[in-house]
Amino acid sequence: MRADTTSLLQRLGQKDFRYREFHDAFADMELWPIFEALLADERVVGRPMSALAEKEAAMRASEAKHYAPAARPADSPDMFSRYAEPGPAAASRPGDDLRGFLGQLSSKNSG
Amino acid sequence: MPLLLCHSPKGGVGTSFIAAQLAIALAERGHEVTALDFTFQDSLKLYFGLLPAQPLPNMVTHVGEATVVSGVELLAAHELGSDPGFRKRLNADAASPFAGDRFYIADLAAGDRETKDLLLPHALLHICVMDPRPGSLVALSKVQPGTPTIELQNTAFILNQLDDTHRLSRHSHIFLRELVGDRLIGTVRRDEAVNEAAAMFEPIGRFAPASVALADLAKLAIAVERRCGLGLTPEAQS
Repeated sequence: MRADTTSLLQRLGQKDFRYREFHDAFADMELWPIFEALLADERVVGRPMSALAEKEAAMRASEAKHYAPAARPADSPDMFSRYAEPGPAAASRPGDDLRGFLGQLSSKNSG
Repeated sequence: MPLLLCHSPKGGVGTSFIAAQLAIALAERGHEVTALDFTFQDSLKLYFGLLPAQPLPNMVTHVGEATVVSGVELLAAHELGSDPGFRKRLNADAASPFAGDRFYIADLAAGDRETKDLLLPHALLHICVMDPRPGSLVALSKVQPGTPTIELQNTAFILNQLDDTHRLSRHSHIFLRELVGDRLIGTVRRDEAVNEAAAMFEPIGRFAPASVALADLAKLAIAVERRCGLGLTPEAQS
């Protein structure tokens, strides 16, 4: 241990440091592009990518069916927008799908 | 008895350091351990506090007294990887040279895929060391060419140089944990004392007994024992 470290510990009246750990929850993990690239790489995840494609399609279909907001026709006044036909679903964030896939992998690993 | 094969597809992630510390930690837990340095760099001994000019006995030709440091027998094995007799024996159906009651821990250079492929069928466990940097992460695609990384059942991953104060480091940890599950058998926190100890030619256990890395390595040795189906030896229990 370095002399200045020892001196600091003495002044603090401690024998050792207590390390603070900064844990992120899974939900807080940012999907860095490098993670997304690895999850799309068959050399890393193998065939399950087809499962991802299926999952993405299922999620999009589900969102389109249940959660699609009413789209406002470009030439409609606001007051009539609620009566407009549902438009295409808002695009889901790709990160959500990949996070779901990673979650699936995780439950597969623990199972 | 187990051959633990320490090899990473990416160099510079601390494979030799982990191999050395794992050997020391397993020896402290009462196992007989031999560390085999298959690298040309010959740097494994540095983590045992030996000088660069201090030669290690050759695995095949050495006679007489062994070099034992911190309870670990050290052998140079770089030339062995290309030795025809050794290759022939490993490729034959004869008894493995790693049979016996002793842990063999092989430290392999990242680029030495040939020796890795030669030893892998004899390894009880392949230990793949990584660090939380992009260069190491992308190498996940090359851990064992031909087999997707998430399907490698005989490979255990260790995340070295983890620094929880850095975002990418934390997120890489979570990512790897979710990707490979319990095959991520441990993490070793980044500690400059590791480099300082090597520069002083002292084992980290002597140079910085309070090092966080050391505490992580002790946990790692237990995790390796479990992966190998081994418990505490009677000597370590007493």
